[in-house]
Amino acid sequence: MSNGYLKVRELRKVYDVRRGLFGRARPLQAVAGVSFDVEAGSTFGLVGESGSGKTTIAKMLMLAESPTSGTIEVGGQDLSVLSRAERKAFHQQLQPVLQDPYSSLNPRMRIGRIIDEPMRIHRTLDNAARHARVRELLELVGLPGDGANRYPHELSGGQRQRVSIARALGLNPRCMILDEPVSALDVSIQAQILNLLKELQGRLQLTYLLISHDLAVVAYMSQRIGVLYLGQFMEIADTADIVRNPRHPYTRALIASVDSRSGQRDGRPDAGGAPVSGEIPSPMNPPSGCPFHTRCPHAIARCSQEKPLLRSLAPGHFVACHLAETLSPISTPPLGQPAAQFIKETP
Amino acid sequence: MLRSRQAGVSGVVTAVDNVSLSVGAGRALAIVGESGSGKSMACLSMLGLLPSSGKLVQGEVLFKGRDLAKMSQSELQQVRGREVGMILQDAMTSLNPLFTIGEQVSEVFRYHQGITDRATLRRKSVEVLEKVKIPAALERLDSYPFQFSGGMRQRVSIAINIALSPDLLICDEPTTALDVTVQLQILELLRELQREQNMAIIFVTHDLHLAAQFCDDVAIMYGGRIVESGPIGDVFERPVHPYTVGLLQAVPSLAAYNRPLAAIPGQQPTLARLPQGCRFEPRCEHAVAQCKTEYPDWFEWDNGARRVACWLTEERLGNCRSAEEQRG
Repeated sequence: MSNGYLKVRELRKVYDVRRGLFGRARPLQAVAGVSFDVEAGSTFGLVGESGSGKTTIAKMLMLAESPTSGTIEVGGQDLSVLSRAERKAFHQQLQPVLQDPYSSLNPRMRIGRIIDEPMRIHRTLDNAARHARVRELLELVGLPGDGANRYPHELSGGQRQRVSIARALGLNPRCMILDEPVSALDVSIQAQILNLLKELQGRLQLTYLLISHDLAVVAYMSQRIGVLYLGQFMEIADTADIVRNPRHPYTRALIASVDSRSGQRDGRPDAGGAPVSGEIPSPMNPPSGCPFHTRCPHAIARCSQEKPLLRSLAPGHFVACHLAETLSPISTPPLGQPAAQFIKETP
Repeated sequence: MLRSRQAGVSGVVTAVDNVSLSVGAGRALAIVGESGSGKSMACLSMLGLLPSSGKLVQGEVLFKGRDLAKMSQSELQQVRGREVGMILQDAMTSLNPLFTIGEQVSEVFRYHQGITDRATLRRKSVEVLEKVKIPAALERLDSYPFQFSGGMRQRVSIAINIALSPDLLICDEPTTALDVTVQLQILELLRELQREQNMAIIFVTHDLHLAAQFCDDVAIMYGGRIVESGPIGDVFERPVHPYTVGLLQAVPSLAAYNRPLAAIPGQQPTLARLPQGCRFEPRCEHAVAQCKTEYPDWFEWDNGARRVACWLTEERLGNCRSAEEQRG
């Protein structure tokens, strides 16, 4: 793996979960040793279902949780050795945008004050300059300048998410953690926010870590994608490889479930994307061997005994599967572009 | 035709306006729309389940030749659960947390078939739970909903709703709360049950890809009205209404992940302040003067199988045809 702005090595987070008041604490491995790099100015997409550990990784990056083991380096700085003052300074570099714009904005503050708050805390600017900066930020995210005097409840979901983005941008961060930034929004609004994020990235040279359960959203936004399952990477590759040449059965299953091309009307998805049975096992009681073997249509005896390590199949393409070479490549149908004629022909 | 009103804080709003739908036995109809488009309200008003502030103002709901809109609540209670099933988004809220799965499944047989014998109830419950592929159904009869995963809970709620072999199953976002791999399993199950029992299914969703995988026909709703309907393949390949076109271009798909998404500008109108003419006019790049003042009539072709409510349909269809001819 190459050098990057964000470097995560063997990151692990174990929670002790107590059943009942006097129950014995049992370990829950939320993140089980992940390593990845995010290059400056690019987007790395973390995709996984609930319980896969994607939000725990985000929390550790934002210093909201401390890792059980492993290291995180951001811009050459090791996060585990930061002093108090350094931690505060670090927050200027890396800002979050969270899923729910309804709960991440204080309903009793006006929009202007919400956007202003991080700048006030970090004392980056004086009063007048901050005031001007708030207006500038509102404009940057496509909100009207008089929006500063409104309250969050007066705004729609999409507008609120724009406020979250403006707040995150206030400190001129170099990196943003986007945790399900569009899942709570209506479909016609999702594209507005995704495009805004892309535009801002180009203009401000931002590095994104994008977290989502929606592979289509992740593919649209990211240059590289890591597929998480029970706290471990099943596959990491460039977006084109994940979408067109997925090698892990779990990646294939994810593609089959979001891609309407593979869901034929007779109920049989095409060759590679066999539907998986069952549900994610509890991370309290993870399966032996490969974490996915309990649901994998291709599993053999070895999969339940020996945990496959993430290994390189091609330059930049990493897969954790014993059978990655033997699985048939899935046929990639031609690019289906819905409504193609209208994209071009209507004036 | 269906029209229902809901009284709200800002006065009377028309949540569902002039909506006509039909679905035949063994077919699946998708109602696709964003939040607030009236898709759930349309379903609730069909079954007389509107919240107390709501009222079906006008229209008929013909189900096997009978008008549900004219039925009393007690008559409707005989239809619901027996002839029509309804599956909601979150099975955690549609199941009672204080009763075991067995009690909740057997309630259907107790209520609708008057069975009281405990052994029979248990046997019938196990049968129907096995039908929805719940492993070790007998042992799980005495479990409570919280002991089930999301996917399993949704299976239980499907079991309750198909227990009496209904002719119509209304599924309101049945998989939205589930993980994507589990979504597919639930859809497969619904499809299998549909084939077995020749049910008609109304599938309410905001997810275009999901609708395309599962349904035969689609009705696209916007601002309480249907704007376009027809066989799902045709609507998705040759969308005509600017909203349908916009929606298809705005949703990221893996097949075209590197194509820029064309976002629809603006946002949905609130029901309290609907535009006078076409609901979509304020966001529509093709809008002409007529769109502002008058709601468009239906434009139909293919013997009425395809319908679009847009003043510019003819022109847009013409463009579409000539483009196809050019491509040969």
